[in-house]
Amino acid sequence: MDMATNRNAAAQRPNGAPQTKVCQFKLVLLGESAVGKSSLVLRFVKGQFHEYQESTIGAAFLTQTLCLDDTTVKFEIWDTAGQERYHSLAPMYYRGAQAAIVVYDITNQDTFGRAKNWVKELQRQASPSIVIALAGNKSDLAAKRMVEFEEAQAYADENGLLFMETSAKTAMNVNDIFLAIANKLPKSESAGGGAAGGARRLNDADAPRSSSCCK
Amino acid sequence: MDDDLPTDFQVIVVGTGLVESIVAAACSRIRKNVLHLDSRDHYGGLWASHNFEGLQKFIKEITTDPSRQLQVYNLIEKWYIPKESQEVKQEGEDGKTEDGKEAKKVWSQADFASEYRKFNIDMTPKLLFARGPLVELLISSNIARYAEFRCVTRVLTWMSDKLMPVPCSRADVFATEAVSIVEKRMLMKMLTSIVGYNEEEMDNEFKDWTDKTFQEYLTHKGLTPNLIHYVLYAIAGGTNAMPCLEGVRECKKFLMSLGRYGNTPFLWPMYGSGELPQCFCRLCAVFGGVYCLNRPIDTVENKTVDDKKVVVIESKSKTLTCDHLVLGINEGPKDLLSQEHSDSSDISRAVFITNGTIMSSEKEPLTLLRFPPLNEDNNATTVLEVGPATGSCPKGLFVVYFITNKVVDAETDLMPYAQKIFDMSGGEQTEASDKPKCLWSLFYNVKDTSATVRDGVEGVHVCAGPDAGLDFDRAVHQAEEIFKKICPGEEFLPRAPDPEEIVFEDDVTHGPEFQGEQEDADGDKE
Repeated sequence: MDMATNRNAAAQRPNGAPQTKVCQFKLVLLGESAVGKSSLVLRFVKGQFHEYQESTIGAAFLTQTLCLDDTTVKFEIWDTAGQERYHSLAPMYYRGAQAAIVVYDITNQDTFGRAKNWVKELQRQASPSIVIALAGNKSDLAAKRMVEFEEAQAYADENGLLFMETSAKTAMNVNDIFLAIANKLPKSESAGGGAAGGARRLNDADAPRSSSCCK
Repeated sequence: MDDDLPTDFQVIVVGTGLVESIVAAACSRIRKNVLHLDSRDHYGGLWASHNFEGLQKFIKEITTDPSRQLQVYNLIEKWYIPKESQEVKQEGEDGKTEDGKEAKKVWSQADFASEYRKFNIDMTPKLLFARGPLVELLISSNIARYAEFRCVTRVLTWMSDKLMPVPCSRADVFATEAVSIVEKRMLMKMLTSIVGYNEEEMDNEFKDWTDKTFQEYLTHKGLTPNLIHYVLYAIAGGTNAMPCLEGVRECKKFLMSLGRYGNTPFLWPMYGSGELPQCFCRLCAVFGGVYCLNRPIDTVENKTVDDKKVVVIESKSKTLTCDHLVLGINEGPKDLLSQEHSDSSDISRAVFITNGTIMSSEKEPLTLLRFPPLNEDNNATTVLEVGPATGSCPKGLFVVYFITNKVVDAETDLMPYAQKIFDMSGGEQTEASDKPKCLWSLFYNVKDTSATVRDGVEGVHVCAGPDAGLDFDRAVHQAEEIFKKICPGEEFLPRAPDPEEIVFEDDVTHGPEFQGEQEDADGDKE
């Protein structure tokens, strides 16, 4: 979490024209089981929704790219893979995460209480500069609403969180919440990439390769 | 809170050490129904990395209730700095001294406590060989995407009473001024031939050397004492008694891993070795494995249910059943594990936190130092120095690990080595010194449990604890053996698909085209 390097990511082309920056960010999802974490991601990444989505087996790691004005933001999205269920989420899950979406179900007050706990946990465990968004999911079920919009908004404001009510089913605010996060993330200098410049992922290529930091 | 835990599984794994976690991942990957438990509130067992608070808890547990952690003994913690910060004398307004260098921070115990989260201190620090079995497994299984690594930047040895860099690559060999041109040719010829031998040629070349030492072989090859030191102590990590064939194999392993990532053959996991078990656990969870920490087990027995033998476990007055139980050595009920322990191969470990690197370098170094034995009774000692860039400690500090096979006890075995490279006086932190100051130290012994592992109950597979080796090879090997017993004929950790390759059935609604790209498909445009 130590952004030790201080490289300027916006490399100049030889002719002096600024090159579009590509910043990669790790985004983690948190929230109780069955609030729709995987559904939100699946909607955002694949534009799909499954009413009876089972716990997502084998797909807890997705990537999606958003283009802002002068920057391409690439999200590497981590799903909990169910490890939150018995309070056994591994610390490596938060490592180097620059953004988090804490999800609750607007029809279930308990999940909102748990979401507040996840926010606390992030404030304690994750990088101090992490951007946190609160998502009140299942807004299509407003008739069964148990968590008032104003209550959640007030909580988000107090804690400096982005907040939206979303629906993975109707796609309402799904792209918007990711876009809001992308806009809030710092995209200068050492932004993006893993924990610190010079750290690397392993891959098949034998040739040395520099970090996954902004290119 | 975990009372709704399901009770019937094909495989239950107890303990989240590296071996257990690899087995859990491998079973889950081929769609075995897996439950993974740990009696503690954190992942990794004796393979864990702790922040400073977690480490204090671990130390307290060992000193107050040794029966909870039987693998660790002779633990001594010591501070070399004051409890509270004292008035800091500012030499310049911006904390810089007159010569422009940043003033050395004066650390107190309170500073460590307040920055506790920036520490990740390994109970079992190890390196990965760039072409070793763990790297290959991480890549082939696609688990590599969960972790990041740093290259070890240099290999050092202790020669003529000082630290010396060891030439690793061909370029290093030719660049070094420590050996003459004639020696360089000799060394390259020797190293090239070792790498070139296949198994058959190796047997042929070394058929007369099976009962001789590596040192005798190197002497026979005409290597000078300088070169013998590099090859035997630093590259092979051996002692004068190292058998010839073992030395050759160790050299070959070292040389074969050169040139893949960085300038040395080694990688270090970001945030420490304790991340690795968690990576395997994540894969297990991704494929449906159920995780529950803080869940000790009380008894294990065999029962026959519907003509089928099962393992029955009692845990917090809940009965769990499975076909196979994979049990970490420090997790099982004591009567299940054999007690025939001899301490002949126990491990002596030490951790030091210092205020500078053992040998200055332009960029922050990540160092493997291999000490030859300082006296005849000792074993060779491995030292790993990691800095803030690895996520191991706050800026301005280094964490240094010492590992050797136990002779007397951890402190007696390792203190002489530490004194060679650290200032252990506890004096002023700001005073000029050619050695980094030791601010905190921890010595402890760990039982080498590899020999005691015995499968007491049918369907129970016991995993050994950490070993003294530099790499993870033994753990990977053991995990694969256990997996083969549980799932004979099945593939061990086949490649997990990338997200792009996962096809969801009944795609009803079609949104915009997927624009994501594979996380490592993009090249370097830096």
